[in-house]
Amino acid sequence: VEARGAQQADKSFVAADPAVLETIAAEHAATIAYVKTPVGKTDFRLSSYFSDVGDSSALEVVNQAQTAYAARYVKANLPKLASLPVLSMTAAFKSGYAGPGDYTDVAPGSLALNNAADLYLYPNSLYVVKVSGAELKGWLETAAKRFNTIDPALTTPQELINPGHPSFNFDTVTSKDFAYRIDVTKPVGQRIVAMTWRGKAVDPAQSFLVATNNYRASGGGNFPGLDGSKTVFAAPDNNRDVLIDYVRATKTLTRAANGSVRSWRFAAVKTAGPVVFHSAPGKLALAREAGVDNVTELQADDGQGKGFALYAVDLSQ
Amino acid sequence: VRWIVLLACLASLQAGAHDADLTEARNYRNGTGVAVDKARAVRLFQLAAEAGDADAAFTLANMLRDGEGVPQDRVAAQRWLQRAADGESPEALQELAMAEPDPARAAQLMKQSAHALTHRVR
Repeated sequence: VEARGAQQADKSFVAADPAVLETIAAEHAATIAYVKTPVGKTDFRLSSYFSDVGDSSALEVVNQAQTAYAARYVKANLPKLASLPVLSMTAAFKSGYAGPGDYTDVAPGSLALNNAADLYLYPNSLYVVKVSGAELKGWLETAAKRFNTIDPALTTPQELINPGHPSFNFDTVTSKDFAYRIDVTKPVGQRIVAMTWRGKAVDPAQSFLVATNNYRASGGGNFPGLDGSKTVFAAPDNNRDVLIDYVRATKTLTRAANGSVRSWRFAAVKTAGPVVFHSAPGKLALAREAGVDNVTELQADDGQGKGFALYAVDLSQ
Repeated sequence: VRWIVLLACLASLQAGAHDADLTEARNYRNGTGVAVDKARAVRLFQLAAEAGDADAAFTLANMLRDGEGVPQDRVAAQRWLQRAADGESPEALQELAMAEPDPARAAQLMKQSAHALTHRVR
């Protein structure tokens, strides 16, 4: 028996064998047809172009699916924990890292299996952790490293996004019961303010269950306290399948029910100069549709040669 | 068959020992039932990682990378991350996948991560 890699030393791949291609043609076609299997519909566009500034249109349905799954599981299998609030965290996995085409973008209409992969890129499993209010704040503080510290007095443009903290580590909650503000003028660790659960300030000692994925629960991104020791249960299902099942059961996603909740906003601050970020050009209407009305497109070409536009966010609004 | 049973028993005993070490390491790191002692946690994670615990190796890599309880050491962090991945830590494999510039290699690592998740022992 001989085994060789399909990839060669120069990183190119060996040429496809026509005989094999012919043999698997039917299976290949069936696979393509399979990933286009509809699982439901959406009446709005789910995209991540403005996830960094508060557009939750590609995130809320993931959090809803994870929350529903976790709540159901806890009720059935962990009755002692059933009285705790259940939240969910997720992040935009596709946020322009590989260029202006590298965003989640699911068109209104039929939603198929391949769209679910666009909404949930990684093959993670759903994990649920139990954390205190203080630990929840620490989690969100670490997520907020996504932003540079903004000096309100500076008149020159300031970049909002810290590229050293990738978008997949910018976890957010999207729940009408949970709210917080991110004050980007404060240093890391002091940015999460006005954190409330059902309208009341979160008690640092109160407990929450949070649905997330195995990567985060087991220490990915090195979030404080999350190193496997907070895991209450590791589901046998992966997050994407949980999402697919949720869309199947919901049938039609609507903007009102599945794409409009904003748990977080920037703490209002007037800046002397513009606060800027980069995203794909010509997408401003999507921000507006998602209720993000404090963004403007400054330049369709940000001048850095990768096809991104320059946008500004008005932190005073 | 007897040998297989014996080997399986030894493996599970070893896994049990890992669990005890790992729990203690986490307790010192997070201040669970003991006062927080990050330096001690680092030593305990390292002991468990050296004994072959991939989850301990992954946390140790994080602590070294971020200089938590130990001077920051990105080279050592990368070495422990690789060791965690070699030991089939799904998260270490995913970490490597997400940092991998070659898309084909990244996809392969992500596939290994998903596979490792299906037979995780804890």
